[in-house]
Amino acid sequence: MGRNINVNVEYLTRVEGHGNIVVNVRESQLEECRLDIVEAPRFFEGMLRNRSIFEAQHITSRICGICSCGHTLASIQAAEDAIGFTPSPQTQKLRRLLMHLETLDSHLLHIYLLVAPDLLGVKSFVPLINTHNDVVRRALRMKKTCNDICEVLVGRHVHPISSIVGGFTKLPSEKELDKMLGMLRSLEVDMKPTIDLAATFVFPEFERDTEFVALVSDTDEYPFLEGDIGTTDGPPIPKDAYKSVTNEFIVSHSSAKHCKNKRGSYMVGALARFNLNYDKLVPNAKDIASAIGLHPVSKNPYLNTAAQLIECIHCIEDSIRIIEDCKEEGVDQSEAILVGLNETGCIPVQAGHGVGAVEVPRGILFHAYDVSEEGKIITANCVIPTGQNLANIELDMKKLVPEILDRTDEEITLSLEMLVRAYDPCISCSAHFLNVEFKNR
Amino acid sequence: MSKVKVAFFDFACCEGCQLQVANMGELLIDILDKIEIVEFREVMSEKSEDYDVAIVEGSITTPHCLERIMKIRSIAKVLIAYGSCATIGGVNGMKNQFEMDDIARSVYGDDAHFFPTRPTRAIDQVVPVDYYVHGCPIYLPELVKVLTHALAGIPYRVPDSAVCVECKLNENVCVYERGVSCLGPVTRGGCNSWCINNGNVCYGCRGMVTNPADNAQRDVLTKYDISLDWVENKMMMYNKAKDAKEA
Amino acid sequence: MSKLYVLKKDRLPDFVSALSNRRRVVAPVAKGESSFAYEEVTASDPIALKHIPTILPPKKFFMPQVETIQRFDMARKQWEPVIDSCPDTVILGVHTCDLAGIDCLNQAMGSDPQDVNYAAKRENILLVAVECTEYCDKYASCAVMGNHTTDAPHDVMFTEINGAYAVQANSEAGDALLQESGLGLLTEAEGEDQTRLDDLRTQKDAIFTPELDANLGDLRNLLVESFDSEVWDDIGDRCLSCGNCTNVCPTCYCFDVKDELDLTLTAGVRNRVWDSCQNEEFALVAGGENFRKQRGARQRHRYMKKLNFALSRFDRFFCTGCGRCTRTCMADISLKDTLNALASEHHASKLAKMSPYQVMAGTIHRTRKMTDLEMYFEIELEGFDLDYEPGQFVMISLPGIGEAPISISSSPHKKGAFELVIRKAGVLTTALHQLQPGATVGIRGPYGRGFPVKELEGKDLVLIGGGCGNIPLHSLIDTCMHEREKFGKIDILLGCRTPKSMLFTDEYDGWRSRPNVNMAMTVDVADEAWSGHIGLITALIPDLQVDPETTHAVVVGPPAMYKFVIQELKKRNIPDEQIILSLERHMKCGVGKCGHCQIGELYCCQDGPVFSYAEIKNKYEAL
Repeated sequence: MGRNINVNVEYLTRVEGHGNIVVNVRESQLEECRLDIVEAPRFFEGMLRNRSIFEAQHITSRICGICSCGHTLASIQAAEDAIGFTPSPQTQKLRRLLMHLETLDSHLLHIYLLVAPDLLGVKSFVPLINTHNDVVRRALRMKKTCNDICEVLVGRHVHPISSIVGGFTKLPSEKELDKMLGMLRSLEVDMKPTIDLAATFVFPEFERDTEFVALVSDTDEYPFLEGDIGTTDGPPIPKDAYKSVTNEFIVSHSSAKHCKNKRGSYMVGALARFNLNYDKLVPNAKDIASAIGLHPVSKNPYLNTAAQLIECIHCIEDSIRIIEDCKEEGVDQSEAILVGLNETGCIPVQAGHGVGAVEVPRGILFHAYDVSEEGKIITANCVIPTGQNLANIELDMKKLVPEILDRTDEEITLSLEMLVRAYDPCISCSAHFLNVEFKNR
Repeated sequence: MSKVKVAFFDFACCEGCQLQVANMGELLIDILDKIEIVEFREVMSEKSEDYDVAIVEGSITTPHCLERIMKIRSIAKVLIAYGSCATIGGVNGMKNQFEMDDIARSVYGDDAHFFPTRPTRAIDQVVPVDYYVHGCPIYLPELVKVLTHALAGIPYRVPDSAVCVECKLNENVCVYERGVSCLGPVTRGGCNSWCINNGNVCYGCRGMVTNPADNAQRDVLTKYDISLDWVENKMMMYNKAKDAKEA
Repeated sequence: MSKLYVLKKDRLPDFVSALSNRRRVVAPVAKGESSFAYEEVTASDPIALKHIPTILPPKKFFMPQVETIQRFDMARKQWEPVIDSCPDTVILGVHTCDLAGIDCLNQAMGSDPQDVNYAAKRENILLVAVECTEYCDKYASCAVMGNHTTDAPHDVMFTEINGAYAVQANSEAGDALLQESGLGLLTEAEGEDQTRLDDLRTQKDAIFTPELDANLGDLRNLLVESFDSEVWDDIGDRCLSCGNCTNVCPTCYCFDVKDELDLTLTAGVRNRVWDSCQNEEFALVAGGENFRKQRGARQRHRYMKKLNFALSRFDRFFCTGCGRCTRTCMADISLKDTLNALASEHHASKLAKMSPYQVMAGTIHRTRKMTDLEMYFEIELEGFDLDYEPGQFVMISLPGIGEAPISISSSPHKKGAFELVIRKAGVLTTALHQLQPGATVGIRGPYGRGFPVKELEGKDLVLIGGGCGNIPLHSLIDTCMHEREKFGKIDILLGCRTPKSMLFTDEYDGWRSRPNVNMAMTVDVADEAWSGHIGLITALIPDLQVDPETTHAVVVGPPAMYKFVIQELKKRNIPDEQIILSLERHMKCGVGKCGHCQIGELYCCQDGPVFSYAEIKNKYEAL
């Protein structure tokens, strides 16, 4: 007599955005296994039509709160690409710093508030206030510090203010560089107990052979903002050809658009970056990775969280390096630029097509714009990392469920939830990857 | 004395305002002394149908959203709408300038019929709202203020003067003098001129003052050679939803 | 008078360093292309001593934009004032206009009860001023306010002369400051330095000239009299209520008080925050009444506060002439332009009030055709009664057509409107006859000397009216009938061409029915119905019972009538002074200027139209 299991998690908790897990097992046979995305669509690509290329950054930032810097920078990259503008080295440096801060912010939130409760056996950080008060305080403190550094650099983390096409509207003064440095050093201090805590986490054991996709580049940088599309399954592909990688398609049994490249699916995110760019991590990060048993190429999606921890170490160190660099070279204040609601015409526009590819905390993000002569957007396309992960998640679930059929219903449900959470999905971004319940189709 | 039960909900939004709550840092723990968060999907697995205060982010864009918000309103004694998506429709409102079919098609092509959508509406266009925290994202000190007012049972008056007041108090150089225009003069303040402090312009995310000086606005536009259409187009970024009728 | 020193320009950096070793130094620093703001400095590089007024005035150091003034804790039932001081500060580079501004604030905040929060900062702040030797820009109006030179308290004054600064302390603290920070940097001034300084100051009087049309003395009066001016409406249309003008004003100190609870919900602080009378809600009371709902009213209030109310409260203007409000206004509302507009409007209206040619709008309330040629008009003025005597006339006009003198036919006891009876005789009167009730006519007047009603009281009256002379006579008849007891016997003799041309016929029975009133009428040409006298009006006089001592005759009629009627009256021995005539002449101005109505040296429009026979019997061409 086989097992019958019916898992129906409505509005999965501790993920960004609204998703449902549906798993049906009959007679120990897996009948149905889906991650349904029930986020209300907002139609950003539609809304961008006919808006100025300079507004795109402001608007697309609002696709997602936690990846708002990522969207901003991807949008700016696509726009600058389309109108043929090359940002200055100083601008690129500061954008890299901004991306590090967002990566830190997002990863720390994920590790501490979204994943840790599962690994400590509680439903949220709230009970931890009593049992692990200093842990919760540290988590909130670190998260706030990331936000505070962003405040100094760009005004705020959520929907950054001073990062626009062409550069920055405000550049940090000497004092402000020192302030940011001080805060980064305090993060360094808090990072140590974080690593200690993470070392005690016992991640579920599970593996599936997967293709990993992330930005790769020829430089020494662990790439977040530049490079080509790298894959564990072949040579790098130029970012302009992103569509050949993402290959969005509709799966017959569900209408989530999935992505596949060489196989039925691929994975993006911290683990993918770690697997593809391990060599470029700062030495300290590599050491800690070894210490916690994380090596490239790791095929356990639950270890995405561990990879995030390693990236935190890297990002803090690299941010400090960038700021010390800025202090030494000085910040050229005359590069501050204001385009406003695009009237000064200080940046000339031309018709064109541009693609921006950046690594946001969750994986590779693409923005692609067609721009008219007047600098208006004709069409826009955004391919979100979480959307690229959906097929992979489903295939993971399909492999996992039969392997854990001997556990209780609650344990199976929790394992599935934890699996989805490990990917750190950002569901509300998934503008096109939407689905409604098709139980009756 | 039992703690006030607070639940966080979200609709069509980017969840950035919820994130701001997480950015409160250790102050959040102090707040948790006073309130019991019984539901906050993004960071907690606990759920509840028993709460006194509902804090809502996001706009109403589908019939399902409408059902949910009505249920929430029927349970909560106090409803706080926070973030522009909830208070005035926010960027989601830009969708309203298109026909629903057209925009769905532009994004989903032939699959458009799977994604039924209605014109975006702010929360108060469907249920009464007790407190507003405007902004995209919210200005955290204002959320703390509103929460304190709500817990103390005092109404919160959103300042009805233009962003220009705070901007001048912060001694910013007016961006108009730099040859760039800004929606500050018609946008209600309370954000401490956040964006202008950081060198950018005001995009009007907090909504318009209740009594904008129409004539004066026109004069200023003429003076700087800006057309009314152009300004309305900019204002549509955040303020379009208020025109939406019953879906 | 403190010693005069000289600081060479290349020693300024050392001076600033020395200052900043001991105190916080704030000075104007460039922000953007053409703006300045006071910021903390430790060296002289960023300082712009030559600057246009800063975005925010120095008041932000004395009275911060947001300031906690009170802490409370209801759990312990405690309130505690919070009085924040500030570090020892030197504000370097204050212009004389801003010195005046600080002085105003000192007065306002020092007034009983003293604002200790302000005082706590003030006592730690020293002012090192910089004198302007030329206008900062076109927005300043410091000369009008007398603030281009210094009267206001300050500690040290810098004046640029010939590549160096003349430096002079103006207070003990200033002296001490120069001793401690200027050591080795300042040199004592020579005689010629003082001379240069004096010359410069003399030159300033020629450079800084009053920037307004109105002078200081008139300004207050101007504002008082311009309360209802349309200039405020125009400004109201243009104003954005952004509050910039008040925020940047050195003497604005209005504030809001806001309590902020902390999360304990029982403790918190009370803050004061700069507020603005330009804000929509500034004058709003509970219940919804807004005492200054219109933008124009709010701007007017601002001007009133600075240039009128401040005089009452503080005995000085609270406008320093710094120009900030104009400079910062997006709607280009300019202090100088506004005051100039008010002044010229005031001047124009003063003149207008004096003008004898000012036309009032009258509305025709009723009309009635009386005869083939004559029409009755009842005319209302806007909200007031015409103040006239019987026998006076108005100049009535229709724009584009013309103006003519018409006698008032009603008696002044009638309120709310007055009456004219107009004979159709020319282009204007023909046009007037076409008018319907509701139409507008132009009215000037009343003009002329009317009937001597007071003199006629207690007398017997013979009232003789011929033709359209009956119209002005009616005014007198009506007056007498209204106060019948004041007059003796009344004989009324009326003459007309035909019975159909008789006027006021519906009133005759009323007159006749009054005690001691006799009426006799005559026509030139009768119809079948006429049973009265036919012939000249003079024929009616012999039948009268008159006592020459008590009888006054009033005669109004066509020019030809007077000679003969007077002859008959003389036969009855009525004295010349007791014969009253109303004469008619061509009139264009009604105020004795145009020359048309002259009789001898008299003007019929001013000295008449009512004359006694005695007055004019020897005038050429009078009758």
